[in-house]
Amino acid sequence: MKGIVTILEVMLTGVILILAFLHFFPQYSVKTEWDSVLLSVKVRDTLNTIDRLNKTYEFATNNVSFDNFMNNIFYPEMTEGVLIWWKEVDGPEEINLTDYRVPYFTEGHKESMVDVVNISNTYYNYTFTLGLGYPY
Amino acid sequence: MSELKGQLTLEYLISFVVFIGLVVYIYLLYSKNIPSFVQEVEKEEVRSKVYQLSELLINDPGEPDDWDVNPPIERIGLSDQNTNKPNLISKSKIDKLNNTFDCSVDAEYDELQDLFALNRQFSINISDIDQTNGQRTELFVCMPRPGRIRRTGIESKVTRITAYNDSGDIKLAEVIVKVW
Repeated sequence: MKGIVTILEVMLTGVILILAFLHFFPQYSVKTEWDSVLLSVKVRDTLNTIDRLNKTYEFATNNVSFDNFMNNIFYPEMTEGVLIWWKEVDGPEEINLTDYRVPYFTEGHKESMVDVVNISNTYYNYTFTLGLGYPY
Repeated sequence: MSELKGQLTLEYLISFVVFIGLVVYIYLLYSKNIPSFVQEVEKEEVRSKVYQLSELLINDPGEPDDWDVNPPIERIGLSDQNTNKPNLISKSKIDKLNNTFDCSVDAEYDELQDLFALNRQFSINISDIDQTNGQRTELFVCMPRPGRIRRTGIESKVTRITAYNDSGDIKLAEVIVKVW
């Protein structure tokens, strides 16, 4: 019986040792925010570029023109995956902003900018928000 | 001699072997993670470098800020120093880069690598994007001569969208940077 007890003690020590290791050194896994950061960089770049090209008002009021522009930039071969986009606009009725259906996405990022447009010698403020995301 | 009998019993030996076996098993379990951990650290370093390089090209005018007309070049950046806005680069600087550095020539590629303060190989591709059909036209391409490419197994790529100023005409471009 004496020897059996020793073996049981060793087994018990082993189990405690394994549990202690698992507690103090949890299973190794690498978490990276790289994809998420790249997505936010893409959104910021695209929004800035739209502003540099003076297309903000055009895209806020014309969905076809906005879709063409985004299609030309983010085609699947370029993005190495499928990206979806949407816009949100908010402003006075006088400037004819057009709504856009927000698609389903699993992960997305959006950024907004405030722009001013002069229509019939009246200045109007509006918000243009651009969103990019992954559908799955 | 008889009092030393049974000091090293069979059970003790089995216990000892089981214990050592467990310690070795745990050591192996954790040590197999070390190579992938080192690789992940390297990947993070490459990602950080590729992002820094793309940021330098898009949003930094360089030193001097008009290096395209006022050499010598201390640091390369393509941002248009006249407007100093994010995501607006200068066609004049792209042209100067194109005319000054032929990356298929080893010495010129190395000089560019020094100017970017990179200790890894890289490639840069700047293309104009036709806004009507999305067609890309290359404005500047830099990558090492095929025989000189050293693949490390770790490569990171960033694609940046930007506008560029072509003598007052604002156009659309894409900058693809890779580091490995």
